Formats: sequence, C-alpha cells, structure tokens
Amino acid sequence: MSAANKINIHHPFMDGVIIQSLANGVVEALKIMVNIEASFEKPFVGTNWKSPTDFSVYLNLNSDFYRGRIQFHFTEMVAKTIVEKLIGSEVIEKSEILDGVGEISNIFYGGAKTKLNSLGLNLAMSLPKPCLTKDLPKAIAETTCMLIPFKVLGEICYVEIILN
Amino acid sequence: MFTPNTRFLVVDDFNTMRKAIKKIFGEMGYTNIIEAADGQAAFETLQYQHAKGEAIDVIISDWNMPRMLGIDLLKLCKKTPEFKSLPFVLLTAESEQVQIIDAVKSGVSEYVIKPFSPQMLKEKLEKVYRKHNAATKVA
Ligand SMILES: [Mg+2]
Repeated sequence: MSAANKINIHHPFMDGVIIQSLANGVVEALKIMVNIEASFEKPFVGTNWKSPTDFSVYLNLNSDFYRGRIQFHFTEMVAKTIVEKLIGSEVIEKSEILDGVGEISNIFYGGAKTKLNSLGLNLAMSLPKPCLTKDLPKAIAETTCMLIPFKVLGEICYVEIILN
Repeated sequence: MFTPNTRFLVVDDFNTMRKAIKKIFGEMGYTNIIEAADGQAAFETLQYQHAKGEAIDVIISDWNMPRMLGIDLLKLCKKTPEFKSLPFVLLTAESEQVQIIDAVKSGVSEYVIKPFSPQMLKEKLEKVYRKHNAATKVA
C-alpha cells in the first residue's frame, strides 16, 4: 500500500480542532438557515467505505499542503427537508434536491474553510458538485477516508474527508 | 426602507439560494426580483435592464460562482458609470478577513455571511437603505 492513500492518525486533518470546525460549520448552518438541530457522533476512519445515503456533494480540497476532497452525504428525507425549508415550498424534482444540497454544502464548507485558513491551512475556494451518492466519481485516494457522522431529523448523514 | 417596487437583482449559482432569497424578500413585500446565475449573466442583465428603461435598483450577489465571481462583478460595476452608485450586497459563504477587506475596499455596501437568517438579511438591507439614502441626500 502506498503512503498516499493512508490517513495517519497524526495527520493534521485528524486534529480535533479541524474536525470540530467542520462539525460546527454544519451545525451552525442548519440551525441558522433552516432551524434544524444536528448533532455529531464519533468520527472514524473508513476503509473502502461506501456511503449508504442518497445524495452527495463533493468539493475539491486544494491548499498549499493538502490535496483531496471533502464530501457531504445526505439521506433523501434529510436532503428534501433541508431544501423545502430553505425555499419554503414542496420539492418534487430530484434536480431541485441536488441544487439545494449543493448550496447547503457550500455553506458548510465556507464556515469551515474560514476557520481552517485562520489556522494557516490556506484552502482555496471550491465549487460544490452535487450528485446522487451512487454516481459519485471516484477520488484518487479512496481506500482510506475520515468520516464524521452527524444525526439530523433522526437519520445519519456524513462529512467525509479524502486526502491524496 | 426601500419602496415595494424596488427592482432587485439576485445573483447566485444555486437556484435554491435564489429561491430562498426571493422567499425572504417576498415576506418583506418585495416581488420585483430578477435573477442571474453568475457574475457575467448579472452584468448582462444590468445592461439589458438599463437599456430597456427598467434599471436594477439593488444588487444582491454571491461571491463564489462560475464564469465571473461576485467580487469581480462588484469591481466591474464600480468601474461602470451607470452602475457604480448602485447598492451592492455580497451575500456569501466566503468569510475570510482578506475577502471582506477586498470587498470593503471595492465599495461593497454590505457584506452578509451565509448562513444567515431572514432577520439578519432584513437588518442588513435596512442598513444598506439608510447608507444609500444618506449618500444620495449628500450628493
Ligand atoms: Mg456560489
């Protein structure tokens, strides 16, 4: 196995502060934008992990030090509820759900990026790309990833970090 | 506050965010809202509306968008005589100090960070109105 697809326990992304800023970004965005409570569960390292959810959003992580990807995974019920609360009307089309989770993930990432860059990570802006979880394009170093599960409306969604 | 017939240009690459802003504005009594999906499309809309005599009164724009960023749209507007005095609000998930400083130097009217609540947006809009009103009274 090459060193490229391992997340070392000493890797800066395994740092509590970083995990905390990602978690806070999610909790805050859901609370302020749509008045939904979310709580974080214990993070874990996944090997060949496949998200059991329906909708996903991926953003490229690009900094002076790291390359990789951050992915947000949502169940259909959670994704649909978030989008409906955002726009104030019922959502029927999958394309509308995709658009909505794309924007909420953009907000999740924005808050975290500001915090992480204040710690000197120097992450660049990234355009979020939403898709069905089953259609997620493969990231280069996919064998090992870091997962932060969060509970929303009784269902589990995930923040996933993949580092190259 | 801005009159109910004020014409707003809402710029965001995500349709959901444009709809969310429209919903909040609708609750404030504003229904005259034109949308654009990026800075480039927004600038074309500004020119088009100006040419047909239905000029945009206030711009609400995202930062991170394909084709043209919100910050570049702001800079372009400030260089364009017809649009340079338009109130321009950046409504964005970008919240780093350097970005806020860049926006302020470029003449942004208000900077609203996503996530935001309807109340936060309303308060910022009132602030923009007061600032703009004071500026036009002096001029
Ligand atoms: Mg955007």
